Amino acid sequence: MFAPIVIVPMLIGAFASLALGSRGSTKYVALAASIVSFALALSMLGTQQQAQDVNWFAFAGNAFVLNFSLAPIHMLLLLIVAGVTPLVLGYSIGFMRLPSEHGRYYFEMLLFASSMALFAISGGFLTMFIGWELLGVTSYLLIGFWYGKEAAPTAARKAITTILIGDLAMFGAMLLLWTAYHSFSFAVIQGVQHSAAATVALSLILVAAFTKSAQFPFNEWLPDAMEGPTPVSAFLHSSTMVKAGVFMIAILLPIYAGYGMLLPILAIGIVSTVIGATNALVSTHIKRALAYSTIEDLGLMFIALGLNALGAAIMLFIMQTFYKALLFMNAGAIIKSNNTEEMWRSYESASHRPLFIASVIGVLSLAGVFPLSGFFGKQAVEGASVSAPLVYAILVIVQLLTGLYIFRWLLIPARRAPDNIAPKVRGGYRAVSIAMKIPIYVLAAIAVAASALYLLAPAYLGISAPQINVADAAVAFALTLAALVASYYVYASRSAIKAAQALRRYRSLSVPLYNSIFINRAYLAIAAAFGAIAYVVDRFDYWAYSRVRVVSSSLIEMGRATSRIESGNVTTYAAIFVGGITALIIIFGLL
Amino acid sequence: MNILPIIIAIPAIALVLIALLKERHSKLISTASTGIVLALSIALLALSIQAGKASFSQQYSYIGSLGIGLDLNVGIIQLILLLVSSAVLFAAAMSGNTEDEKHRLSSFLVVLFQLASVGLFSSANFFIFFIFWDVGVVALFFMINTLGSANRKIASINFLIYELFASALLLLAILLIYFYTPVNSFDLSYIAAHAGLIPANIQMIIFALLFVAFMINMPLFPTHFWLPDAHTEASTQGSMLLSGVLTKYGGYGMLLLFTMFPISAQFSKYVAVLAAASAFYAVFVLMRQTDVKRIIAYSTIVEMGIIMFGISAVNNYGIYGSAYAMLSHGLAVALMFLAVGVLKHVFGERDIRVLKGTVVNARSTTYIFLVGTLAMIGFPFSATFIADILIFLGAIQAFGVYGLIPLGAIAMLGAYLYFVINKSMLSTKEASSTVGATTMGHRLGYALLLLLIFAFGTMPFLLLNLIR
Amino acid sequence: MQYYLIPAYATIALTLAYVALSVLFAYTNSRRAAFVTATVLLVAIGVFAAIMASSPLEITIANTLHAYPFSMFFIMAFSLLAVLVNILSYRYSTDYTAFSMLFSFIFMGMFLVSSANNLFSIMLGLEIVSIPAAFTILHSGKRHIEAAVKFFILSAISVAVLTFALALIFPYDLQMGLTYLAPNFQISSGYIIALAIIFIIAALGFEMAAFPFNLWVPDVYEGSPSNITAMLAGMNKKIAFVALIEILFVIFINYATEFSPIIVLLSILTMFFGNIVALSQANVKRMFAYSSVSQAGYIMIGLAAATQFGLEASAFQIVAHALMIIGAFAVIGWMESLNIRSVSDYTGLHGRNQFAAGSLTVLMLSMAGIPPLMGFVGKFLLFSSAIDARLVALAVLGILNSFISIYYYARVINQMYTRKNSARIAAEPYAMAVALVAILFIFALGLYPQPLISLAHNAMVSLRS
Repeated sequence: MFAPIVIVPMLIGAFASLALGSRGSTKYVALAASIVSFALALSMLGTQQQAQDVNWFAFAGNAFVLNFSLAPIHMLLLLIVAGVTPLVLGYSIGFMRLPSEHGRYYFEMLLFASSMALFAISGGFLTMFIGWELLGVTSYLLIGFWYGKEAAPTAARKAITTILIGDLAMFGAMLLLWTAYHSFSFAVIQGVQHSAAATVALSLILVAAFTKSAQFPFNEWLPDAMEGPTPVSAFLHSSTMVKAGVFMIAILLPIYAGYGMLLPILAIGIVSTVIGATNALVSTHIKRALAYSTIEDLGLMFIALGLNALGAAIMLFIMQTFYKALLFMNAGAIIKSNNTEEMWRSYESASHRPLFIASVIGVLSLAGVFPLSGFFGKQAVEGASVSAPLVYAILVIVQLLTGLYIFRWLLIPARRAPDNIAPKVRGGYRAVSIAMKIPIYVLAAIAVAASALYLLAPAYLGISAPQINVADAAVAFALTLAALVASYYVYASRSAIKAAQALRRYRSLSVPLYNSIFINRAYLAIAAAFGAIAYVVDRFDYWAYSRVRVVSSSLIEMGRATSRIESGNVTTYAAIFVGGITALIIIFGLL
Repeated sequence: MNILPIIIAIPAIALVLIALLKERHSKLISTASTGIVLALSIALLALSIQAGKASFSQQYSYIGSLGIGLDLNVGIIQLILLLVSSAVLFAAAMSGNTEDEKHRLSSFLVVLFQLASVGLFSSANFFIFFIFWDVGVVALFFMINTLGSANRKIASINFLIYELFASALLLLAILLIYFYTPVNSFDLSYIAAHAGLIPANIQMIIFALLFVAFMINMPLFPTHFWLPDAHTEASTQGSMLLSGVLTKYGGYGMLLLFTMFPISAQFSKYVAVLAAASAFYAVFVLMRQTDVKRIIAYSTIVEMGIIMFGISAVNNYGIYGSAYAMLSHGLAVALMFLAVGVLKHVFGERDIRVLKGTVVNARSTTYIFLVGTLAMIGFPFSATFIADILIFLGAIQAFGVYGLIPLGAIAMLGAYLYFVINKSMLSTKEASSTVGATTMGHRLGYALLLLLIFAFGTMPFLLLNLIR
Repeated sequence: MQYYLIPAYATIALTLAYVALSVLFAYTNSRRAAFVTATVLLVAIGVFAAIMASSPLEITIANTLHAYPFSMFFIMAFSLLAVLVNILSYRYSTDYTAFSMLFSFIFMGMFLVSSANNLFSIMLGLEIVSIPAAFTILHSGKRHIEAAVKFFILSAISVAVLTFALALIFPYDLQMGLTYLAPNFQISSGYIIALAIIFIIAALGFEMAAFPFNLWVPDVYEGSPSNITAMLAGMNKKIAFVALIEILFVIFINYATEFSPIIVLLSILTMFFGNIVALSQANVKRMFAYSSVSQAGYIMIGLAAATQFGLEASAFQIVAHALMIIGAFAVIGWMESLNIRSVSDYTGLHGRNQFAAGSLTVLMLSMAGIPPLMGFVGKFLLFSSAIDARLVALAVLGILNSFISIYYYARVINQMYTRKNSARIAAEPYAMAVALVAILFIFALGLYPQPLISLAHNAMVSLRS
């Protein structure tokens, strides 16, 4: 089947939603469209004709082709996208309560889903770039969705500025590669010869990947992007869009390995992981903590890629989808019930047992506890790093931090509420709509069941299964357990308050943990630098323009000066008359 | 049947009609004139696709003793420029003159400018080119002078001075070309074939004259100073025509210069640097502007810098990419100015510090502004995307990796435009109050321009297949 | 007598009739009769002259009048211009019949100069042109006395210089015929020739408004009533050019390489002087005076080129500019009668009378050299001829000056189209008619200049043979 067909229902749904606007049927139409797309995606499993190309236009004897591919790895991402979309849209039915927003919201969400699907099935740079750009714009619209708030548009601006850099880097890289190979197709570009232009192109692609996947130093747009509605965070910023960079590098990994350019990937991955883990530990905002956690997850994926362990990266890639989406949806439930996004002002998350169990599953999966799917993902990466001791050591520390922050995240909102508001909060949890709960339960189930993919996926993709080091798994488990105990002690036990007081004495030690502030300050400094340059150039422009006017006024002055020769005196004229003749005689007499 | 002479004749007839008939018929006549010419241009495109190539010509004698005639010749590049100018003219005529009641005057000037533009882009010799250049400049001068806003007097005179200085240089250049070619001729194809025979030092002078003349018009730094003021003070129609069509005169001239004179290849690198510098300069100044119209005005300078960059590559990709870019940019910038004009019309304001929450009361216009931004920075499915691909491929071929540098200017432009949209337009906190409403004419203008941007963005083969 | 030469005889006869009848009507003081007769006769003269100008026929009548395409071309032009001046004067002149009489003498003088076949005729004709001109100014009112006296004194000086020049040439050509100076006659030194050329250029330069002999122009133009200014600028100035062409390009044709640089220098100085001083003028009439000074400079470009093409270009521009300047002074005169004099007075003219503003705009655009108007064609031909003669620097300076002139024209246009609430101006049929004729020619010859170019070509070819 022709690959882009899978996008069609989503697009139809998008425009239908826009047309239907604030009617009640909008959300159901959107959901239906996404389900149809998922069905189509499923039907494409096992398709024979995997590489499909469309000739778009030709110039100077060269064809510009839109490449599509249904190779296993693309199929995988497509299924993930097409599968998560209905879950998120279903969740949205319960979360987005204002009918006036529906038309715009479902339009933008389905447009995003279509772009992500397009991205997934792209077999070449041109197609991928189109999807890439669309992802950026839809993300901008969705982050800034509630433009009545002050913070949302600001966050959207930050996101789009960062992503724009990546967009243009990718554009440049795409064209450089085309110049060398006269093709955009990934298959053709695999056989890359060393050249300066190719190195530049690959570096630019890395930059693009890092901007999209919120890696250092482009990571700060992601936490701010949490200003968007929670379903948006669950969809774009945990399970799909941010992983686009990882996906792209994964497809091109052999080339990077051949060029010896794996080190930057590894390095950036490590830095980002550390940043993610440390900032998540000190974040007090429910969704921001998860955002930093996502940065950490993505960093781990890049570490795996940097170690040329494609299998490990893909394993984590798959598993992270489920627990992250799950945790974000949970976060949405907590936020709705407590009417705040601050962790310390949220309570009673344990009051609604099923929801709490689902969140525990998500948390344990993230921490990498056997036998949940997250275990296979995280351990695959750690296993791959065993051969590089330095990396392994860092990952062990990160493992500890992960445990600390995620249990903290779980336990703080689980506290008992003060008596005056307890009934309201508990009632809030009960009132969480069924439309929100069902996707949460489904994802929890998947988070458990997806462990099976550890066995199935590598075979499907045709790569070797990632090794899991048992010793390392044991160490990780021990650390997680320790983290659980520590968190419980600090946040949930009866001695929580004393523990908190004790911790406050060591507050200054935690400064490095707030390192995202430095990154933000760097952004502001860069923006200020641009602003300063702009100021100088603008002043120059203004000054130069006023100089130009001087020319015209001096012409007039010249005129005034010359006109004084016109004295009105006849004898003067006569004298000049004669003088003129004399002058002419002299001048031309000399010739 | 030869369509070309009809395309020239229709505006001429319309001029006479507007002068003679009642004032209330003027707008109808101008809309009809521009609409028919647009339809005919599209017909030319269709005929070209059918024939597999674009080639139309016609000749009439003017000054027989000098061998000068009203010679017309339309090839693929001329066809591209005809399309963009007739589309922008139609959109401008349709959206009408909402700022003032002087319908007869504005219609007359629009049709006069139409005659000049259509004539210039289809001219087959430099003499006619020059004549239409001056006519177009004078028409726009009057448009700014009589129909603009408060400070239009100085702005219009400045505009006139700059442009007529450019035309003086142009006149000198074409006279030099005429007298130094083996058989004295203004004919473009003849000159293209024999330009190498002009003595080298004269070629250098001709190049310098033409380069400066077209540089003033495009405009490029450092001869750009007339543009922002002219735009700020012109009416919406005036701005659409100024940026959408008049700047293309210079762009077309540069294309001719670099394709006809072999000496221009020597300066390719220097021109490229100048073009890139111009683009970056403009984007930095742009980031400090608070008047939306001025922002779009500077963005024109940025885009023309990119176009010049493409031309300076002097290869197939660069040349045709620039022509395509002139098409896409003309449409996109006309769309933006139309949107800005509607904002001014609806809210009475153009300052982004004051203009807030336009999405509440002028939703379609706000989203058009967003789509226009996407069209300007080269978002996929817009014509600019194709143009950028071609231009930068040409630049890479000619300059290697350095050919990608101007992408930075596009990035900054996009970032700031998103900033403008986000900070002022998309807001509900303080929605500005309205003093007018979007009219059907505006909406039709939007629709037409969007349709063309999208059409040439998704079906580039319509034009590209005509290139041999 | 061949019948196809009748038009030539007719022009002479009609001119004499014109003079006689003007005198008669001046004596009987019948304005309307004078006007109608003048117009009819002038139109007839023009038609006959046009017929003769397009054919290559020549005849010398009474041994003094040489009727050939060159003379017929200019007589045709001058008669048309005379009609226009007449219309203006009928409306604005204080004593029309007296003016008409004097004007008929002037016209006769112009006829004489154009069709001269010897130097005496030229000199005589020039005298007949200048002296009555001075008197017309004198006669039109007390406040014009200063202008008249200035004009008279300076024209006296120029005539003296001219006479001296002719005296220098006299020994070498006792017939004083308008034939080229035979190359083989002995001149003891070239200095005599050079001196003679310079004096001739100076003398005619006075009338032509060439720098530095043109200092009187702004004062006299501003100080005379507009209809006379129109005459001075449109006709008197042009006849000087005709005389210069006749003398330089026939008698001194072999010395073209010597006199060409002189004309180049004067042309450059004149153009710059006229344009730059015009920039600072506040009085519109004075501004146009300076503008017409610079226009003389442009015409001199064609003469400096000293080629066939150059002469044709100058001939074209002579006629073109005469039409434009008369049209311009028609409108200016109309405005003057309403006390609108300075540039600031012209503010909002578009709102007060669309025709006045529109016609003045078209006239100024044409003078600035904006296509597709007649002024552009003239300038284009002139600059082309300069480059053709490899006088590239001159062409450059000419184009530069053209560009400078836009500045002061644009200023006036700017003011006219500014909005200002002022009283409406009533239509003025005579001035409007003259302006309308000028504008019609501007468009007609701008879009289809070939006829005039052909006539000029014909004229200049006949001169050279």
